Amino acid sequence: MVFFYPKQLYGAFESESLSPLQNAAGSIPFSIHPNSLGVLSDPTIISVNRSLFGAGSLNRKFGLKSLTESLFVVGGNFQDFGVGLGVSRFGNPNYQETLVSILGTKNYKELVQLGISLNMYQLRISNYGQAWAIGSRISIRYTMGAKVETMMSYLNANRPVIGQSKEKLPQVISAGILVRPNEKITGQASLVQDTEFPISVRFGMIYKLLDQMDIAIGKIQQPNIFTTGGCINWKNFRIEFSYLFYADLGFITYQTGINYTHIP
Amino acid sequence: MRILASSLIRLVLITLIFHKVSFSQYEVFEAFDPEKTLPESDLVILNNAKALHQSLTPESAFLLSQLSFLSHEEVHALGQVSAGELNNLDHYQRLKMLSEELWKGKNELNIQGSFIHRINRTEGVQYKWFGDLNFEQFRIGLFGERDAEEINILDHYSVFLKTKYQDYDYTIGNFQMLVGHGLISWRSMSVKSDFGSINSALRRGRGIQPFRSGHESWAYRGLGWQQPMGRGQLSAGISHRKIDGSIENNHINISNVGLHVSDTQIKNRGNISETIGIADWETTIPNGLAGFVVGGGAWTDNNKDHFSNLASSVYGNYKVSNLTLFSELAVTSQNKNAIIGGGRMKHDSFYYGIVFRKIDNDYFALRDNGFRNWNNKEFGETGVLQELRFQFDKIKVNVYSDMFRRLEKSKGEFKRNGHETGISLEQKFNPTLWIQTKLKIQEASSENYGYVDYNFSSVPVSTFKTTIKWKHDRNHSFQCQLQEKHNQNGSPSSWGVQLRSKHSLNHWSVKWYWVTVKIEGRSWLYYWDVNLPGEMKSKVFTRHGHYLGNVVSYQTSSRSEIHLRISTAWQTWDFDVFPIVRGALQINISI
Repeated sequence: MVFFYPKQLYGAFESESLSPLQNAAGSIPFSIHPNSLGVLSDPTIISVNRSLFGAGSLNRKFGLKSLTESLFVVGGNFQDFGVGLGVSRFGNPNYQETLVSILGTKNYKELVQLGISLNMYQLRISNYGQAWAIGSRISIRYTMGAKVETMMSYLNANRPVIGQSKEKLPQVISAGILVRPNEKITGQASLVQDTEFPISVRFGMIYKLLDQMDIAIGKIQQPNIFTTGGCINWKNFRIEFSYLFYADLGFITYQTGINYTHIP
Repeated sequence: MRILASSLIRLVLITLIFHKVSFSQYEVFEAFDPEKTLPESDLVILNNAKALHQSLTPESAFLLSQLSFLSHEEVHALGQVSAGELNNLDHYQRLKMLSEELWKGKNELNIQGSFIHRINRTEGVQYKWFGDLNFEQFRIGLFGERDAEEINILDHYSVFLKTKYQDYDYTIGNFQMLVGHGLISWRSMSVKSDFGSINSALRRGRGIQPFRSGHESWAYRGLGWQQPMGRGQLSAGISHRKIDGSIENNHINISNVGLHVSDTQIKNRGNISETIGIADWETTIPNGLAGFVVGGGAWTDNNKDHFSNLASSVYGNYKVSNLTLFSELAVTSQNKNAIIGGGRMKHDSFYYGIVFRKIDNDYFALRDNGFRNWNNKEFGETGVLQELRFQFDKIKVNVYSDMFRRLEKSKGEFKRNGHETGISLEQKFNPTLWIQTKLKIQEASSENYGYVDYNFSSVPVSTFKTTIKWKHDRNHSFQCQLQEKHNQNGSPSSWGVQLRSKHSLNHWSVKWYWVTVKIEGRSWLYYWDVNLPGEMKSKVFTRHGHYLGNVVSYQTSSRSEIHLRISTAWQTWDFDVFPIVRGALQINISI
């Protein structure tokens, strides 16, 4: 019975909207080019994904059908701004969370990418009704050099609450470093703190095995998760998959996804 | 006298020879006492000066002139640089050293903004964000903080926008007003007795300044401006905000904690609604300056308790030959008065300064924080601080003494008084070698309540500190500091030894830090902690133990750096305990 597990549990909108490749590389909270689906959790990458792109993914948390999560995003570049629209759904016919995000990015001096997303949270419980709230995310990506990028993200700094009980929506601070020592390896170290939970430390690595194939591994501390997965590239398409093993629970989550990025 | 004499003999017997190297990010701070807190705004100003500027310019000089610890002469010199009347700081040793630390070897870059993101693991995880953007017409400052265990990401934030239009300087958002000598409105840290305190006490405020500190309830929030008026300068501000604190017994307690975790802390958050208006006009007079401050405030807490206050002061300084006199006299509508005054005489290497103060019980103005020993405002005090500096052959001698007494609040109550004395010897052999040593004796009587009757103790505490620094070469430096502290009642001494080293290699630098202490009773020892750039924390050791600290820094580009700090503390002598591990990550970026 997952719902009575005595340690950390997910509350409303606590599920992170990450792409399979992000999850495979240690649930990195930041997007990695050209992983388009990552813009849901970190829109700064839209300024790199200048062409039209679209992506979607599906997973069942802990392998449970009742905890099905689907993500979809579409976007592109309009004049000097990156724009996008994302949707995520989580739950089942009785309990469903829907998140609609309007995404925007601005590049400054080729050094800083500032991303902002306006999030509409909708919570629906059958026979009880529904509630909604407006949240926000601010993401900043800074190019620290040829091989290092650093990212910061603030989710719901505007302190949104939802429903009659005014349940507080998650406020999350994320910070991370992305290192590319060579063309084949991308490493990440990140810290994710939901202000009501202990800090989550995450490490991961993506290795380009072939031009058409990447593999990834990662480790999350708090909760204790081992991750792996990869992606297959074919023309403008990428098929991604990830495998998350919750060591304390003994459960496994599989996630698959597909990306399309128009390459002129 | 016998104790003092024996201490002096020990002082002379110990010589310490060290090279002029910097172990913290700014060597100028190393001279300060780690037992006394430094204003965070000073660290932010220095970081901004380093990140946004590449050399001494009128703009960077103006920024540096806002540092709290500068002397009147140093501020005047920076003012001259700012006005284009002075091109270098060769005659001002401390400013020259600061300038070299900040900008030596820096390349010219077009920097418009600097940001710091700091994650600090203590009992929980604390986050801090600093930002400073410099446009042609505007300067924007940002500060955000989430303390450990606080629920909201931006539990506290501070924003200011500073701009100039014709002869008017405007600051919108969070600002502070430094006027006179601190009896009406000052920064969140007051001047305390120490080497060089006379200079700080003598320095008058410079009006409206942006607020950069993490103190959550000290800043004014609204509009502040400065403009010429008549033959002088007007500085004025209006502020309305909520502050943490309480109204008790007809006086305001402003909370200095800034933590919102417990139910009580959350309940008291923004407990007081405050409205303040304040104005200062000052003008130059022959050989001096005079000013007049008037301000008023109204406070209402959530229990509908109300307090209002009007405060005014006159201040000025006057210079005759080598003698500078200063004073400020303040009164409030609560019929509470305060006065501070003194003088300073300087002739070649000889320097003598004296400061008198008398502050009434329950004296409260608006943001008063003048020079005083005890922080509790319910009790007033009177005192006199003296400082003497001279050069004997090649040895620079600095002696200060502060004697103070608490004002009587009711008849027959316990009388409390104390003193603090310090002596410092310094000898410079050549541009890189010198000898320095410091001794401090502090005494403040306090109440002790026993089973039979209460009595009081008044035991002087001596602190003796010696430091040896060795610079092997440009990239490798080492330091050893010994400290001894004891009550002068025959009780055993606390001893501490600190070893530090710094190593640089290309874009990497590593700092190692080790402390071993043996503590007796309440003779706690203070050392500067291993700090990230922009931090200047001290660490107090209250029991036997060992402490290992390490900072790794990597300069990823000319505009960015990553710093990582890890420390481990064993709070037993024999290491037979789980160590307490702490860490911090900091990212400095510029655009």
